[in-house]
Amino acid sequence: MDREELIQKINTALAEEFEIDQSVITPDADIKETLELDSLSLVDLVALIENDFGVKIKGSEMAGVRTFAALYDYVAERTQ
Amino acid sequence: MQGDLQSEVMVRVRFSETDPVGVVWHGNYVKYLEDAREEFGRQWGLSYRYISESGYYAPVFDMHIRFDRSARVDQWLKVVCRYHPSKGAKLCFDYTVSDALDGTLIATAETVQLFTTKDGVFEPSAPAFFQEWKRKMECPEEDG
Repeated sequence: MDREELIQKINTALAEEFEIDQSVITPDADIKETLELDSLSLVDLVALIENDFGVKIKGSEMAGVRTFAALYDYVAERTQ
Repeated sequence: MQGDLQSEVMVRVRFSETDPVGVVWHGNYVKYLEDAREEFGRQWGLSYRYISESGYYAPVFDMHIRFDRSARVDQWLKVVCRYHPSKGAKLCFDYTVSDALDGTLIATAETVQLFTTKDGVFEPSAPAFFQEWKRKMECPEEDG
């Protein structure tokens, strides 16, 4: 899977899980603000990434993943 | 095994748990739920002590209680706590509180617990001990 395919797959999964329009997902957008995440929905986001992409996310690292671009990088680096 | 993941406790309503109207004060149901959840942990290997020894706490994040009838002093209540399979790093339980003698439904409830490290840092990813517990219990990763 190349980067564009990965991004599209992540965006599709997020839009479905959080019932939002994919158009609001832009690389520089803040994940928490865009998806209106609280602690519970952050757990759902992490579970989605772990289950759909086989990437184990460390809680301590998630704090540094603030934008969608950072999330794409995080997943891409661990699925290569 | 997942279908059997529930525990129950019997509670006899104490005078100190009732309000001036003579019924159980609503806040005391939170303790009844906790009693049942503690028993679940003891019975199914997910006690608070085990969670703590694994390096985590599991604070209650969300709770809903619906009251269908009142309970009164000396009444025996049966509190059933059922594990609700869910994705990721959360513990979800459903509860029923009923009259232990005639089965009349008194209240239903749900709780969600999340995990923090013992330093109080929120852990959004399922800790290894919890993943292992779910594997042992053959819990599916359902929504919720």
